[in-house]
Amino acid sequence: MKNSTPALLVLLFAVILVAVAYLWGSHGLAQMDISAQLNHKFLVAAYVLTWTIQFGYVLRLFIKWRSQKRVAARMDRDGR
Amino acid sequence: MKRIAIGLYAAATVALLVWGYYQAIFVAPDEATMHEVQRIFYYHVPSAMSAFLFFAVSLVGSIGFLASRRNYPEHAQRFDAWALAGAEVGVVFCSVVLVTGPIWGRRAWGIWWTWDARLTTTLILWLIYVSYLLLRRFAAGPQVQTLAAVLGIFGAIDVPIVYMANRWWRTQHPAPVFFGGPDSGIKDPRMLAAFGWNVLAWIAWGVLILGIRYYVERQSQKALAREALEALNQV
Repeated sequence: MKNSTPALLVLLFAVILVAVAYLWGSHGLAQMDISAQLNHKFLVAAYVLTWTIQFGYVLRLFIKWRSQKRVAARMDRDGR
Repeated sequence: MKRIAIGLYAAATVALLVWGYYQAIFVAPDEATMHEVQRIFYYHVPSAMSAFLFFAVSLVGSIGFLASRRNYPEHAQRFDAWALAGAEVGVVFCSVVLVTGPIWGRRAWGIWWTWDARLTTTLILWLIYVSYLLLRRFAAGPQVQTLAAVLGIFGAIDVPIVYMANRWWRTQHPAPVFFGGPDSGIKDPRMLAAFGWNVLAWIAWGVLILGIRYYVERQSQKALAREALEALNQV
């Protein structure tokens, strides 16, 4: 369970982003003309990709930090 | 105490990001010709400004490392950690610029990409710092930090070229919004406010992740030093 936490975090993060992208991307589309619909979808894509890059990087940092802490703890335990 | 301060700073940064998003989407008016898609501007330009800022951090770290590596090795390690953290966070922001730009360009110009001076120099900047990170990740040996510092300084030379590209050459990319002549600047105060809040929010966010990356790198350096010491003791 402990080793699968990073994978679960990544999955949760991806699900939230996809849900936000879907809900925001499809919100109010029925009232828009084609050009406005495209503008809206491109805007959503740009914002969601920005969050994906930024929060994905933070998630990667967090996972790296955790693994580093584990290595340090193992070194301490081994009496090194 | 330090943990509380970092927690408060992180909370304030997230609040700023939410506020910046609210300003960009709900407060700023639609631009007259591009309409809703112009709101990409509120993420695209602050990300470019942040990328320049963090590449500057990397430049200072690289110069500091080269200047202090012989006489002050402990200081040099700190400088090196700042250089690496700055380069990595800069690449993250530069990636955002290179992703949001083509999305905006596709709607505004009808094309995803063109080899104009601003876009090409930005891509070169990104490639230089990605190669810096690859060097740090995959090369080994005592000279890696020195080589990386030289590459970091070399990469930073491209930053003013990117900034000046649409002043020096005719480009598909729009003319400078700020400091670009008498007609430049944002006229609508709500647009200016949305832009200002997003600049503040993304720089605050960048500083937060820069600090975390620096801390992680310092821990890694300490672990490596400890391992090296253990190995020496065993000899």
